[in-house]
Amino acid sequence: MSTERGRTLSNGTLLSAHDIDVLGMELDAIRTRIASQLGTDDVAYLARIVRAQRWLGIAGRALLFVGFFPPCFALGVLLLALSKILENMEIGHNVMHGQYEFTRDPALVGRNYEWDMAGPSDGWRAVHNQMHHVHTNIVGLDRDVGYGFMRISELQPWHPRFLFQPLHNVLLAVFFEWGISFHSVEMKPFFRGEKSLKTLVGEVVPLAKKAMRQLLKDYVLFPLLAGPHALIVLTGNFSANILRNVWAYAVIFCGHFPEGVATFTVEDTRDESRGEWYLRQMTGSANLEGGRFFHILTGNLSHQIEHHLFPDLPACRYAQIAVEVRDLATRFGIPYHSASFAKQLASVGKQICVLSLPPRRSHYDDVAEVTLGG
Amino acid sequence: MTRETHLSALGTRMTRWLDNPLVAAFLYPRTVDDYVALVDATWTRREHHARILAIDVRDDVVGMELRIRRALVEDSSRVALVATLRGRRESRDVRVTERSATRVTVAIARTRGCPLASWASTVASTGDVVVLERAGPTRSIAAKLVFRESKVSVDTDTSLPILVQAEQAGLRPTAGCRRGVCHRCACTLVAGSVTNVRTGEVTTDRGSIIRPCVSVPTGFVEVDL
Repeated sequence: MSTERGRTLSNGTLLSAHDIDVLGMELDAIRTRIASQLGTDDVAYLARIVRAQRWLGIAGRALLFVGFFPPCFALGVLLLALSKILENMEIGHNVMHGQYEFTRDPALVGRNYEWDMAGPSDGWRAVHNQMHHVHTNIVGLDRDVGYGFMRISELQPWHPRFLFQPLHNVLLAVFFEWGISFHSVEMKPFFRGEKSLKTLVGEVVPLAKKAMRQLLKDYVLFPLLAGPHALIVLTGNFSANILRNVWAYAVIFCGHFPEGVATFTVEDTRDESRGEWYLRQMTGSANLEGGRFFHILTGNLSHQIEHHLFPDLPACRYAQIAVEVRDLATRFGIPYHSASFAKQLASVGKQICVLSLPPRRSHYDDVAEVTLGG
Repeated sequence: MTRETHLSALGTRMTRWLDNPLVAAFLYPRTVDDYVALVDATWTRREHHARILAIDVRDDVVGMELRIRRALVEDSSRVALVATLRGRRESRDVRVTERSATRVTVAIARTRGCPLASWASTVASTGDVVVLERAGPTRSIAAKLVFRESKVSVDTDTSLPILVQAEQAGLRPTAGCRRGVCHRCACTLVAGSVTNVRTGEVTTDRGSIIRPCVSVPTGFVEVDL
C-alpha cells in the first residue's frame, strides 16, 4: 500500500512515500535472501547454545549443593544465572518468535515452547509477539511503552505518580521476571469495568499455576534435595534469578528506551504501509555494541533494530544482517541508534529521571515536534 | 545382542524410569528428554528415534535397517521416515519390509528429485539417527480443507486465508495481527500445499509451520487446527 505522505525524521531527513516504499522493498529482499540461506549452520548454532545452557544449569545447581564453600556458591550462582539467561533470551525468546520453525522440528515450534520464567509463555506471546512487535512504540497500543506504570516517552501525559518512577524502576529491575509475567494480565480495563471478572480469572489462573511450579522447583524441591544445606541452595537459586532479572531488564530497557528513539501516536501510524512499518521499527529500536559473547548473552537482542525488522529470522543472523541495515540507514539518512551498553544504559537512566518530572513547556514543545515527525 | 544394543536398551529403560511427576517437577519447564538427549538422542521418549544399522543401495530402492525402541503398530506396512537434511526435516512415507521387536527394515524408492531418497543413497551412514512417525494420510483428491484437531472439513476456497475459512466453519483458533507479522496463529501443515499471499512462497512439506492468516490453500490441505 502506498501513501501520499512522506516522513520527516528526527534528524531532519525528509523521506518521500516513494523512498519509504523502496526501503520496504530493499528490506524485503534482505529477508528473502537470508531466509533462503538458512540451514545446517543455524541449527548447529542453536544446538550448541542449548547444550551449553543445559550443562551450565547442571553445573550451577551441582556447585550450589556444595555452596557452603563460598567460591563454589559464587560460581554456582553465576553458572545457574548464565543458564537461565541463555534459556530465556537466546533460546526461549527466539524460539517463541518462530525463528527456528524452518527446521520443521516440533521441539523448535514457537507455540509449543514453555520457558523458564514465572509466567506462562502463551501470555507472553500475546503481549510480546502480537502487541509489542506489531504496534512497536505506539503510545496506547504497545504496552511495552513504560509497561503500564512508567513514563518513558514524551507522548505519554505526565501524572504525579511518575515522580516515583526512578524507584519503581529499580524494583522492576530486581523482580523483572514477575513484572514480565504480570505484564500479560491487564488490570486497568478490569477496574474500568471493560473486562469481566471471568476473563481476569481466566488470565490469572494459568499464571498462578505456572508460577507455583517455578517456585516449587527453585525454592522447595532443590533446597530439600540438599538436606542440611537447604538454605544455601535456596539463597543461591534466589540470587541466580535476581542476577538474570537485572541482566534481562538492562538489555530489554536498552532496546527501546534510550534518548532519541522514536515513539508514535495512533494517528501517526494510521493506514501504515509495509515500508512505513519497517521505518517505525528502525527508528523505534536501539542496538548495543559489544563482542560475540556479549551478543550471545543478550540473546542477540543487542541487535534490537534487526530483530524488530525481522523478528522471525534466526537471531544468530542479526550480526550479518546489521551490516546491510546500517548501510541502508546511511543511504536513506535514517537515524540508526547504536552505542555501547554503558552509554545506552546511562541514557535510559537519564530518560527515566527526566520524564518522571512534569514537562517544562518549552522542552515539551521541542521534543513533541521531533518525535511526531519520527 | 551387541554391547550397543544393551546400552540402548539400558538408556531407554532409564528414561522410562526417570519419566515421572517428581523428576518432572525438578526439571520443569524442561523435560527428561531434554537432558537425556545430551547423552543420546535415541533414548528420548517424545519422538520415536531410530539408529541406522545398515544401508543397502540398489538400483531402484534403498533398504535401510533401523534399530527401533518400541515395536511398530501391528498393521503398519508403511511408516513415515523423517531425516534432517541441511537443517530441515524431510519426511517421506516408506514401505516396511521386515520387522522385529527391536529392528525394522524399510525400503525407500529412489524417486527422482526426492531429497530423502538421494540422502538415503549418498549421504546417510550407519549410526545416523532418524525419526519414525505414523505414515501420513492418503492424499485426498477432493478439494477439501481439513482441520485435524477440530475434526472439521470444508470445501477448499483457494482465494481465502485458511484462518478466515476456519472461522467461517465455526472454529475459534488463536489469532493475532492477521497480517503475517506476529506469528500468533501459526499452525502445522499436515498435508497438501499452501501459498503465502504476502511473500508468494509455496509450502508443500509436511510438518511445515504456516501462518493461516496469510496462507491460502492451493487445493487439498490438512492443518492441525
